[in-house]
Amino acid sequence: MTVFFHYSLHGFANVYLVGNDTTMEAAIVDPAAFTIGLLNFIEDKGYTVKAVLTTHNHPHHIDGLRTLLRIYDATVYSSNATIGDVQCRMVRDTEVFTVCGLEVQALSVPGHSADSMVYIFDKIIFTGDTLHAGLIGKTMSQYGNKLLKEQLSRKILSLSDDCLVLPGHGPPTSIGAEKLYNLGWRKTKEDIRNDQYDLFV
Amino acid sequence: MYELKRCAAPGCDITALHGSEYCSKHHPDPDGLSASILQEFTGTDVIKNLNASGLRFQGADVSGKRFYSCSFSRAILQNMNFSACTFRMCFFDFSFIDSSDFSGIDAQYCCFAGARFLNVSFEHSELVHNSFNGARTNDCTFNYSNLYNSRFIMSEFEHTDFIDCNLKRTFIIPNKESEVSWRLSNTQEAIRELDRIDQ
Repeated sequence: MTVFFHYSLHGFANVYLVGNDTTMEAAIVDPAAFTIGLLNFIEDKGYTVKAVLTTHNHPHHIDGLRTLLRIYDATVYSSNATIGDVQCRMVRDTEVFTVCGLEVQALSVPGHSADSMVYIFDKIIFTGDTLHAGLIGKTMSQYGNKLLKEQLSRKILSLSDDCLVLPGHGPPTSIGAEKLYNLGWRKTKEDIRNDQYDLFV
Repeated sequence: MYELKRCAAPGCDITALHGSEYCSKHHPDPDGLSASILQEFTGTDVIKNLNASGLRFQGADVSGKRFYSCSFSRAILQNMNFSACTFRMCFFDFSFIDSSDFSGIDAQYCCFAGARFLNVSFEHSELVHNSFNGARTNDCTFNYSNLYNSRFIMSEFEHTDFIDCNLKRTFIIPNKESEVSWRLSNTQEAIRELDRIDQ
């Protein structure tokens, strides 16, 4: 398995190409934009894109999907039945499936968005916008924030420290680093107030 | 990406090192393996998919080489010369880097999270899209470097200079700053508060 990274100026998002060097088939994770540069790169490497994995359906992660599907006949994997007018192969929480001959596990990690999925290829984790280097995904409510933290600590931080985290934005990281150096786990003033309140319950 | 084959030691889930069946903990001769890896470097300028996590490298000159998808996680690098090297998607998380030269490097999409830097120079480097979260630096210099989109969250800086650096979209939220110079750097374009994050 080979993983390539492409920085998309559209939303400053990360696009990933996961290639199977035996079959020369490849999957794209989050096609934020599908540029001529990315197309040339895929063709130069000799891959055929057979799958697209979307972590969630925010524009900065899927805007290149329609262009990509005009060039490649690829199956789109998502937790949604459709993205725009594109039919998707729906994936469910904890489902294990095969993409381009590579085994993937999908984990549902809602909070940043209801449809957020994380994809795990062996020790490589594509976290989309759920977990970034040093930060957790932006949420629209305190409920969303709590839900995201709870889901991340249960499903993602429980993975081994040497797992590599490749997020939807920003630099790569590892599970070990995120356990120690993520501002998302810092308690807010609200949490501290609630803790104090809980003492008397 | 380096091979994610597991260490052959029973019950060990850590990935095996380059050219070995074992991880650095279970390898019978890790120093011998480090020496043979350095020997391999001499014949090539491009190093791809190398897993050297947890190994110790000392006193070698690998300047100008290009590293792609390599792991030096938890490695010990002492008196190393990495000047003018290129790094893409390389991992140095939790490594210990002492008295080494990383000046003039071009590092993109790399992870130095939790690393410990003592007397290390990154001067005149392209350090774009890298994580230095939780890194601790003593007597280090990042002067005249481009730190676009890199992150220094929960880092600790002591006697460290960031003179004339590009800090556009750089996250600088350190836990500790002592004797740090940001002179001539565009600190107003750095992200120093979480309110400015839009992702």
